[in-house]
Formats: sequence, C-alpha cells, structure tokens
Amino acid sequence: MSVNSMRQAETLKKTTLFIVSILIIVFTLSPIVWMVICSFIPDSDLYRTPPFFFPQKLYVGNYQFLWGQELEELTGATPGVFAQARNMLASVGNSLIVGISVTVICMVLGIFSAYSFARVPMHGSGKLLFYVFFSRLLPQVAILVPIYIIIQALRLLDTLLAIVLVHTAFAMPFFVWVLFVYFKSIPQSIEDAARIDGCSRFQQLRKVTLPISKPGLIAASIFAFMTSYNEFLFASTLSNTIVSRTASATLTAVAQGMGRYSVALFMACDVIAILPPLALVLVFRKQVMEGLVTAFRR
Amino acid sequence: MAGIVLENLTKNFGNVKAVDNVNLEIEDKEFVTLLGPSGCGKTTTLRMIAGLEAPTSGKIYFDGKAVNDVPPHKRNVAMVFQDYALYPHMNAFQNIAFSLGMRKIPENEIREQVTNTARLLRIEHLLERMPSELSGGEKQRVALGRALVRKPAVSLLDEPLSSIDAKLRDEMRSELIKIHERFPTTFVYVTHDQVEAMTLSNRIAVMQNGRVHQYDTPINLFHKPVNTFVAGFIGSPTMNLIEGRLSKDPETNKVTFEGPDFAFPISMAVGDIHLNRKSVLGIRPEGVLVSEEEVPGSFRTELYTAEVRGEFTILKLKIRDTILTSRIESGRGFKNNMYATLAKGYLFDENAQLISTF
Amino acid sequence: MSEASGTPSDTKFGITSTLPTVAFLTILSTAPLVYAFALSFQKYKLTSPGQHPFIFLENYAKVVTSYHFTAAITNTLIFTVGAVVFVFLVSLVFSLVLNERFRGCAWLRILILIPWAIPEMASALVWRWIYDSHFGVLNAMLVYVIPVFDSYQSWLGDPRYAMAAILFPQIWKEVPLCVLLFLTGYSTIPQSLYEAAKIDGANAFARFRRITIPMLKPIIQIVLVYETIMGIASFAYVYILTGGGPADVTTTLSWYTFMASFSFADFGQGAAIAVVMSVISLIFIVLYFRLIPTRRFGAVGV
Repeated sequence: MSVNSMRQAETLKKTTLFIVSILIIVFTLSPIVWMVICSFIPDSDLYRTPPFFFPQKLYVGNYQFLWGQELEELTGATPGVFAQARNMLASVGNSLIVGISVTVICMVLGIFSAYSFARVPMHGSGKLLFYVFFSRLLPQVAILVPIYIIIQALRLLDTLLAIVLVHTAFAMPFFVWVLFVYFKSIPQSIEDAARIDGCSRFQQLRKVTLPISKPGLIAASIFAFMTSYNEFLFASTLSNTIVSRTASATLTAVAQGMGRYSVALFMACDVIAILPPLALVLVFRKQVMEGLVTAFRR
Repeated sequence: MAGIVLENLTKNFGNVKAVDNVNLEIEDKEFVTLLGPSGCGKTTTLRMIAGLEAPTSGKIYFDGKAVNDVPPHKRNVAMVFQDYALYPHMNAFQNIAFSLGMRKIPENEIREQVTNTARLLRIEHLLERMPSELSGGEKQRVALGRALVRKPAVSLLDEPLSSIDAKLRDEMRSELIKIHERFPTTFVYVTHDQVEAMTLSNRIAVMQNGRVHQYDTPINLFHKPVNTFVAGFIGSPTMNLIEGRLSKDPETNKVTFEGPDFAFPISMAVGDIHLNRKSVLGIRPEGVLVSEEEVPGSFRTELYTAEVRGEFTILKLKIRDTILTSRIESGRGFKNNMYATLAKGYLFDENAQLISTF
Repeated sequence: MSEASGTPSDTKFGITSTLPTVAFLTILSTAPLVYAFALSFQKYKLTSPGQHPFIFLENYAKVVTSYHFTAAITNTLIFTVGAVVFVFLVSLVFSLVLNERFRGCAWLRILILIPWAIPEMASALVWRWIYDSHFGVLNAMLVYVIPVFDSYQSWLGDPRYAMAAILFPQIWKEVPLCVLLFLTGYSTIPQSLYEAAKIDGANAFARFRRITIPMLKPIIQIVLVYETIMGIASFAYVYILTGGGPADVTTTLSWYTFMASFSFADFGQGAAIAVVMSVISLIFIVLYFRLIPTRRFGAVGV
C-alpha cells in the first residue's frame, strides 16, 4: 500500500470514528438532555411551536413545587395528577426503602444459595439452579393478575411490604445467577485450603470467599436494587396511595396526564426519579459492567 | 500422628471410575508418593484423604479410626495445592496464621509459631507481603508454611512443584527432603514426575486408571517392576519394551524370545505356560551395552540418533525396525555401526506381568 | 455444576442454603404462574365476584379467535424482529467504534451505559413528550431544524408511525447491554489472529467478516436470543406511548394480556393470554439454553 492510500485510509477511519462518536452521544444523551432542559422551563414556555431549545434562564419553579412550595402558575386541571406529582420526593424515598430492603433480602438468601449452587456438591443442585433462574425469564405481565389476587387476599394491597416481596422475587434469580457465575470463577483450591485450615463451609464463606467476592457482590446488589427501582407495573397496580407508591409507580400515575398539562413539572419529576439509579451506575460502573458481562458469559 | 489406611476406596464421577478399589497402608511419618500419569486418580485419592471428596465406597482410616464422615476441617490434615491457593486478601503472615486463628490459639503464640516456621522456610522477610507480590517459589514456601505451621498429623501435597521452573524445582526437591526431616509427619505426595517420586519418597504407589499397580520402595520399583507399566514409567530414559513371543526348541529345550527384528536366547527357566504366547522383553538403557567390536551374543545395529546429555549420551540404535535406547558415558564416542549386548533385562508375559529377570 | 454426591455435612449445608430461596421463589413466582394457569380455565370476571366456574378451554377459544389476538401475534412478531435486528446492528456499529482507542473513548464507554440505567418508566415519559403531536421536540426538529415534514406528525396516533415510535425506545434501552457484550467479545479475540490476517493481506472489512464475526458467534447467539425474550416481554412503551393503538396497530401480546385482565376485567381471559404468552416465551428460553453453553471457537495454535 502506498503511503498516500494509507493516509487516506487513516483519515477515513478517523472521520468515521468521529461521526459515529457524535452519533453515540446524541443517541445516548438526547432524551435525558431534553428531559433536563424541559424541567427547567416554565410550563407556559413549553407549549409553543417551535419550543425553546435553549432557554435563556433556568426556571426552578418546577423543582420548588416538588419541594413543597405552592406556586400559582402550577395549578393544573386535574388535582389528582398534581397530587401524584407532589409526592415525587416521597415516592423516591419509598423506592429507596424498597430497593434497599430487596437488596438486603437478596443478599441474605441469595449469597448462600448462589454459593451452594456453585461449590457444594449436592444431588439436584443443577436442577434447582435452573429452577431459580428460570422463574425470571417468563414475562412478568403473565403473573400480574395472580399476584394481585394473592396480595389482595393477604390484605397487603397498598403496603410497601407487598412491593418488597414481589420485587425480591423478581430480583432474586438474576442476583443468584450473577453471584453463581462469580463464585465459580474463584479458584476452588483457595476454598479447599480454607476448609483444610479448619473452616466449616459457613466460616469459609464468611472469611475467605466473601471478602474476595466484593466486586461480584456489589454488582449483584446494584442489579437487585435497579430491578426493584425500575419495576413499575406491579408497583403501580399494587399501590393506591402515597403510602406504598414507588418512584416508578408515581411516574406511571403521572403519565396519565402527559401532554395535556404541566409537562415541565412532570419532567422535573422524571429528573428526580432517575437520579438514584443513574448515580449508582455511574459511581459503580466498573463493577456493573463486569457484572453484566460475567452474568451473560456463563 | 497418623497412619493412614485406604480400604477398597472407590470414587465414581458419573460413569467414570476415577479411583477403583484402592487399598493402601501408609505408616505414620512415612513419605509416600502417589505416582502416575494425568487422570490416574492420584489427585482424587488425595482429595478423599483430605475430605474434600466423599468416596463412593470404601473406607479411610486415620490411626485406626474411620474418618469417612469427618469433614476436612476436623481431620487435622494440611494440604499444599498445585496453584498454592494462598488467600489473596491476606498477607503471607495472615495466610500462615489462618489455621492457628481458627483454633483460637492466643495471638502471641501464633506470632511465635508463624515466625519459627517462616524462619525454617527462610521466608521471614516476606511475611508482610501480599501473595500477589511474591514469586512462584516464595508462594510455594508460604503455602508450605501454612500447611506445616500447625504440625498436622498428615500433610498432603498435590503436585506442589509442577508450577515452578526446572532449576528451582531441583532446589525445592532437596528442601522438601529436609522439611520432612524437620517436620516428621506423614507426607502424602502426588506427582507425575517419577524423578521427584524416586528422590523424595519412602514408598511409591504407582497408579493408572484409578488402580495401584505397585506399592513399594523406590529401589524395588526400579529393580523389580511388577508389570510393563511400572517398568516403563520408572526410570529415565524409559525402559526399552519389545513385544514378541516366547518359543522353546523341543530338542535343545532352549527358550528363545522372538522379537519382530531379532531373537534373543533366554537363559532362565520359563514356565511352560508362557510358551508360544505374547511376551514383552524389557531392557533398561543402562542394560544395553554397546561395543564397537562384535561380541558373542551381540546384535549389529545402525545408529539412529545420539543425544549428548552432559555426562551421559543417549543412543538410539536400530536393529532393522526395532529401536533400542542405550545409555553410555559420553567419553566413549560412538560409530554408525556398533554391536549391542543385552545384559540385564526383564521378561513380561502377555498380561504385562513380570515373569523373570536376567 | 456441583452434582456429584458430597459429604453429609455438605448436603446439609446445601439444603439449608438453597431451601429458603427456592421456597420464596416458589411462593411468589411459580405458584402465581400455576395459579394463572388454573385461572385460565375459569370464568373469573370482576363483574361477577365469587363465581368462578370451570369453563375449560372457553377462555382460550375466546382469546384465540379475538381479532386482538391475531393483531397481537403479528405486532409482537414485527416488534420483536425489528427490535432484535436494529439493536443488533446499532450495537455492532457502536461497539466497533467504542473498541478503538481515541481521545474521549473512555467517556463514551461510560455514556453508553446511561440508557440501561434509566428506569423504563422514566424514559417512557420523556419519549411520550418527545413524540407529542402538538409540542413535541421530534416534530420541532423535523419541521424547523431539518425540514423533512411540512407540519407536525402524530407519531403515536398515526398507524404508519406508531410501531416505529415504540420500537425506537426499546432499541435505545437495549443497546447498552449488547454493546457491552460485543466489547467483551472483541477482547476475547487474540490480536495475533488479526496480525496474521494483515500479513496475509486481508483488509479491514475482510478481517471483520472472516475473523470478528465468526469468533463472536457465541455472543451473537446470546444477544439474539436475549433480545428476542426482551422484545416479547416489552410492555412499558406500549403502555405509556400508544396504549395498543391506534386501532390495534401496536397491540402486542404483553399489552393484550394486560388489557384483557384489567380493561376487560376478565381475569380468566387475561390468564389465558398470559399462558399463551408464557408458552411462546418458554420456547425462546429453551432455545436460549440450547444455544448456550456454546462451543467456543478456540483460536488454533495460539
């Protein structure tokens, strides 16, 4: 290849990289950016064609409203939807409570199961693992009705407990799976050494396996938390009042009013809602990425 | 301390018999090696002694007590693993001290014992380092320290030298002998390297396909192999094994071994049962004597290859299509056509069992 | 898997460790599923509480003959195929770029995670607003900034656009994971293969076609099957953006299940569709497990 054509190929490559990079940025960020922009615009300015792409000033009224202030311009047509939005912060709080509870339960139950599947020889271990994993893959919509009926029968409608239970059932399989793969990647000889050195299975888990497994544990926990946080169908179906509303449930309720009034306010709700999971993923991105990859690698 | 008895020990993985009815008696403070090619069941046997695998059938006794149902952490065994298996989140000191800590031994005693052991293994200066900061040989010593610090009844070593480069391996071998002297406990050692086995052990169990072919001292294994497998496995370079038939001349009553390319008269008595059947002639390379002049009873050979290995030279000599390996001192020199005399040798029957030696 | 029989203490540990999880999941996942199955054979209308006679396959008959159903099957097919194809292509292109080293590539790799991190409902809300037929920014972009259309389109209300409208957010959401999987895939291919190919005279495209794609087969299989499962199960965007319309154009199986249960207030029928949907998903899950563990292409002679 001549020097010139090599240089041409080089520039072609650089230009393609640049174009696609811009594409990636636009692709990934544009909905989020638009969400943020709209949350800082007063509603009246939103219902214009064309919209203000870049507002001159940042309007914080939407956020002030969510923080509890009353603002005249934000009296909407349907108090119901507004009341929902009002609860945004509280519902994010609920989401955090539920998410953390789900994660804790997953840890208590899931660590032992995952470890047992990975390392403890037992008849039927493989079949049980398949069973655990399998339960997640079926469409959740399918069990919406039965769960509703069951929760109703247990008089647990509109409680955070119900949501925690349901979400744990959703989060557990993937949690166990991620940890299973992770535990399997630990050299068995280290665990054998621990047991020869005097550890029972339980002690070995506590003193040797778990300290080494921190990245896997972090990843699995984040996945559990996010599964719970993202879940909206059951969260909204099983809750009626703010008592048990999660962030996703509130957003679902808010969505009923979309496009008709106070979109800016709802965008502000949205921004607040996405902050916790976004922060979590950005801070722990390394563990998250490794966790996702190992889980699918098998 | 503990003598170990393995009684009809069997381990199946699905349809595969990894360990097949192994019976072994190891005496207290003995250094015994399980020797064999990969897949022969030696590591599985070791793991069953450790309690890391449960036998499918058979029993294991420590000092006369059956330990089948005793979990590893209650068996008072120590193990050195092929990949060292050091706890990556603890430094060398903590690695060695770990088992002592599990027994709730007071801290100052732990410190004393660990430092003593470390000093004996010459790793005192490494105690603060993390495993990732240690070289292979150093990790090996820390692993040994971890095993020996609590003066176990039985020490199990699973190919501990295989991950170390050749030169260091020689050093570590001598060190292991010294260590066994200094820490007189029962050592059960697993390796596929027969040189290691021969130099380190009091007795060796040669295994293949889950069974023990022969369990004897190194000398006896070398001089009195019980079948062709053991004969071929022990000794370097490998013994010459030639297939052929035994026949007896009815008139002279002389027995001859008829190989594919030459016939060899057998001077010892051979039972009639072995006549006219397949047989294997075994000659160690040291037993193939080479001369430049023809000697009565020798065979004319053609030089195939010659490898000068320092003090000894290994010659591969062809008698028509059969290749004989011979070992001579390098000073002697060699020619293209020389004469080979078969001195010491072994005769094996059609089932590869030893008939006699000469 | 640890299938071989172990020591008694191990078995005890194994049982105590796995039993709670298995029990928990059975109560909250499997039992409801079985209940759904049972429901599908009953008449369970909220309008007649307390009377749930067994009507066997009547629900299924109603479901399968409903015009919603054919629409649901077709739409789910279109949606899923579209999702899988585009997620695959977009992820492939993005991952190829992200695999290169250039200034800022680390930032891009962080950015690409964002659509995955955003809760489905949150992004559905934004997309709803972006697609708005009166004031949405997509319309603004396509009319004022890059004039493609003369006037605002109803992306969600126009049968021509509705399917594409719900497809795009799905693609947006699923791309990060697939990009990640591809990136890992690339890292498992030994550089020496590419170098040998370069010496043999292969250009970039040939190297891609002959080395990258074949070596990536296990990952491609995972991506295809997983995205199929995700495509079938996708619900949020139909729920928030189109509500199955206009005129059933975007009614997918998941939407139909939901509608039958809560809009028609006929839990029996809803359960029947749920079972049908589960069976279809099951087929794909079995495929998933058949295809993995895949035989990995070991690089010869490395």
